[in-house]
Amino acid sequence: MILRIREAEGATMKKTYLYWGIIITVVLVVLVSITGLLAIQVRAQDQSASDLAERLRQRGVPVLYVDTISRIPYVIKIAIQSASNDQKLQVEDNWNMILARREATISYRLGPRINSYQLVVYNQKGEKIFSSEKFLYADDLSQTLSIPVNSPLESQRTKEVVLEELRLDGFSLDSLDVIPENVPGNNGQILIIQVSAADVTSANRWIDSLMGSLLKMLDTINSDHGTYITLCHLRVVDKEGTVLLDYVEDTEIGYQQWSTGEGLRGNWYSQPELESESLVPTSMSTNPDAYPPPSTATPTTPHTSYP
Amino acid sequence: MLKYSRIMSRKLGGFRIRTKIVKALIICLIAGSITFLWANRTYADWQVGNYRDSTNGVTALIFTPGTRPFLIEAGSSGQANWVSTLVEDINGKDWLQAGWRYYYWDAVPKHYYEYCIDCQIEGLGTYYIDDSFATQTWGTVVDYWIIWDGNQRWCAYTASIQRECVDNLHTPPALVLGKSEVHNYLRNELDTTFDQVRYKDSANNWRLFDQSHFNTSGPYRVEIYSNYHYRTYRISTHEIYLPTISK
Repeated sequence: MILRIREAEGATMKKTYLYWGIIITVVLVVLVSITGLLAIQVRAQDQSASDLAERLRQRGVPVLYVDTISRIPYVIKIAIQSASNDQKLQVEDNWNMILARREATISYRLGPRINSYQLVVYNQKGEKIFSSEKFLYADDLSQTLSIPVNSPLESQRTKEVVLEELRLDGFSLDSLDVIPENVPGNNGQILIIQVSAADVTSANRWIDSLMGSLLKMLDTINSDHGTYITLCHLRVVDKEGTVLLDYVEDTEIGYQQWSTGEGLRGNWYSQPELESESLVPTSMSTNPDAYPPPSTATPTTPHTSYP
Repeated sequence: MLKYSRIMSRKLGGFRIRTKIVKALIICLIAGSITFLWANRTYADWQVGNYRDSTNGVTALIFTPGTRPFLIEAGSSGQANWVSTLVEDINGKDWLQAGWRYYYWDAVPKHYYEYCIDCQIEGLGTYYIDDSFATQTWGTVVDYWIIWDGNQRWCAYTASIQRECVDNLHTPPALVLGKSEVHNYLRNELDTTFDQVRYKDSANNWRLFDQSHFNTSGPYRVEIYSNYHYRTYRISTHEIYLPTISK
């Protein structure tokens, strides 16, 4: 009887050991898997950051470093060297900063998706002269881009199309080039244009027309003509060669950065002003319902969610 | 006597008609000149809306009109409707703004934000625009915010989503605006409603706009329901000139 009881106890003990053994094994396997996955992710993130730095260097961007700031969410920091000796960005920084933004934004094509990237620019004294953090989301238009399957229109034909679309008016064309982007994961075309004006007054007269035609062209040329222009660099100079406008656009994504020279002013972009003409209230409506908002309008969020 | 009065009356009537025609021609000439001057300003850009000084941020619900507004199809003709900071110091103007913008070649309006560092005064300013993330279809409303995050940064949000934070702009308090801006052509249509326009006070509380700094610009006006709820629009051409002629 006692023997049977001991045998039963022994069997129960064995079951218990087996049960705990299985649980511990499963936990260990899960832990090892998670650790392994994290290690792979960490390695992938480090590799992605170093690849990004390398790609930028190959493109001639003076990168100081690309660091991983946070693993989850995945945040990187891109530091660029400017030629500036003071607190102001230089004309050349436009191109370098747009390239850095571009590489970070489309890095999901080649590696892990970035949640945000910090872009920092230092001057020759090592002082930080620009710093920002851009946040990316999986459903952003820039995060759902696809590379065209077909080869883009050949360079000569692309130039002809650009010349047909561009309104030069009072500017004269100094140069127009279309060069291949030639970077991993991309077979885009880079459009480089230089135009000149007699002086800043003449440039002001025609700049909106030029920029309007350029912006329209860059928005539509790829879909309408089969080109694959990904970057555009426009420079407007006067007869002495002074830069009046240095404009860089990532056509594929939509980033635009530019610098203007003294006296140049265009109106293709928004620029807040306090007063345009008067500060007189114009028409105080007595009936607040006089202009009902659009019936289909639905606020995207309640106002209680302000940060 | 009766005949004489009839003749006089006819003459007077004719005189009145002639006077009206001459008056109409003069008004047309003046109107044409004004239109010509507006249209040929070196800086063809019109802004209407409201602003509030001394704040830590701004937000508004900005509507798109129910249908596509008429835009002249030339140059960089278009419009932007935004909330923005604006600070001017010895280095120039700085701002960060967010809203929707629409050019004549666009299919639908796009969310965007832009900033400018040390702009419009001697030396180079740097401008940056990003409209790469979302669109706002006709007849809808989206909330746009610009806020000081307390960490030396100004941040732009569209549709409640944080888009970008920028250092090196300016420290608060800042003047903030909620305005519509029309580019290039004064015949461009405008019809945008701003609602729940709020500023962030120094204690970081959101408050409705409580100052009235509305303006007009060219043919663009504001229909004011309150300091924080208004509609920007373009008056039609006959509204500008017809009352004067009919006098």
